[in-house]
Amino acid sequence: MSGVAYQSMRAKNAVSQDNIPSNATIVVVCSIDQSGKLEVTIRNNTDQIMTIDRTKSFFRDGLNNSIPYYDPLVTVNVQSTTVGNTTGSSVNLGSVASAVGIGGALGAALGGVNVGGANSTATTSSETTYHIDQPIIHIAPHGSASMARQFEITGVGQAFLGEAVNSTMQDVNNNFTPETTYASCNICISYSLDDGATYETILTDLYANTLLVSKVWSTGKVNDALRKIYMGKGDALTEQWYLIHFESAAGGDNHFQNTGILNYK
Amino acid sequence: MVFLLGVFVLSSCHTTQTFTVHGTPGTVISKGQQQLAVIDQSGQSTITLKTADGYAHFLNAQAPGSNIPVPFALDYKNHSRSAEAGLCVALMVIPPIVGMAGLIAAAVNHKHGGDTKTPALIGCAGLVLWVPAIFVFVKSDFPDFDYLDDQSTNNDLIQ
Repeated sequence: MSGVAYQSMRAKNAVSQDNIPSNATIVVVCSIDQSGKLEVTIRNNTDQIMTIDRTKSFFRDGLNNSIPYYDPLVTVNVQSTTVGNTTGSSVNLGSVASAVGIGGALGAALGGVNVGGANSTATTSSETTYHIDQPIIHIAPHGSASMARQFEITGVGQAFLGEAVNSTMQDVNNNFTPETTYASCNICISYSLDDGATYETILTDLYANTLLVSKVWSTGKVNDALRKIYMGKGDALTEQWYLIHFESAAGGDNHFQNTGILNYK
Repeated sequence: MVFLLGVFVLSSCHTTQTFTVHGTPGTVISKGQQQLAVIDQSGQSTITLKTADGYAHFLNAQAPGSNIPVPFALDYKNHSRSAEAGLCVALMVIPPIVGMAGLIAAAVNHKHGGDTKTPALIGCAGLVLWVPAIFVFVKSDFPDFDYLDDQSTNNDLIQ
């Protein structure tokens, strides 16, 4: 059976853009996409260079697992291209060595070795890209920068809402506090305005404050279900972040607002 | 008979569906970033959607003076079009067979001094019908739903 589901997220101490004082030092902008992935952007509201220590900045999920923004793992992408004429099938071990990261003398030695019955004059070129995470970010005065890592919030997004529609046989209209919520997370950002000599932190607690599920009881009467959502939550469309998910046999569709959930210090 | 079937399929071929949206005059109806219509002074507006895009779950309605686009869901009724799709496939297959058979019969009759006019006419009719049949087959969608003729915005609930 199809239905319409709605959820909204808030920060415990959220403010609107208009309510950020001019003397605020730092603004944390939490942006959540339709699949429930959170990306954080930091705004430096000062005239000084701001330093963000990503090794001491964390995402904490609803189960209190703490994950630092800095990811020391280095990701390596290797693209190999083999160019040449072959008269049969063969594999050039040099390209294989290059693709798996064997360089140096061994890689060079393998470069001329072909396995298979064909003669080949193939040459291999490879392009290697290293993705190395930055432990420290500097933000220009009145500039902003992304924390450059996304985290998925469990219990948020279109997949969760689709499941909510399909798993219930009745309408749901629940409001939640930070203590009773079904989905929450916390972002801790360490920042410095004296080039890393001293650090301060800003904490942002996000939580899902509503969950509404409205089933389509009469086939095709989808708008009746949507109207029940509006009647159950008059401010449904003024939350800083909300997602309306339409679940049906024809697939799903979403309407969502993501102006960013703001916090400042 | 084949011609009548062709007319039926042509008349039931679907590439778009049209319905009326009721709401406050001046309300802008849009789908994503694309503006579709503005509700007129009579409080309604006609909207046409392509069926090739599948069922559009909702449209947005932004009332005059409001900066909030308010989604409203599109009501529908189920409508199986498997019979029409089957007819369309039949029209793709039958006319060329009839056409070729007619022309071959005309050629054979011509050789043996028989009637050539009737089979040639049937053959030509079959081939002529094949052209629009191809067009219909390529262009048509067979959505398993019909939007209800009358849809309503929700701006009365959310200002």
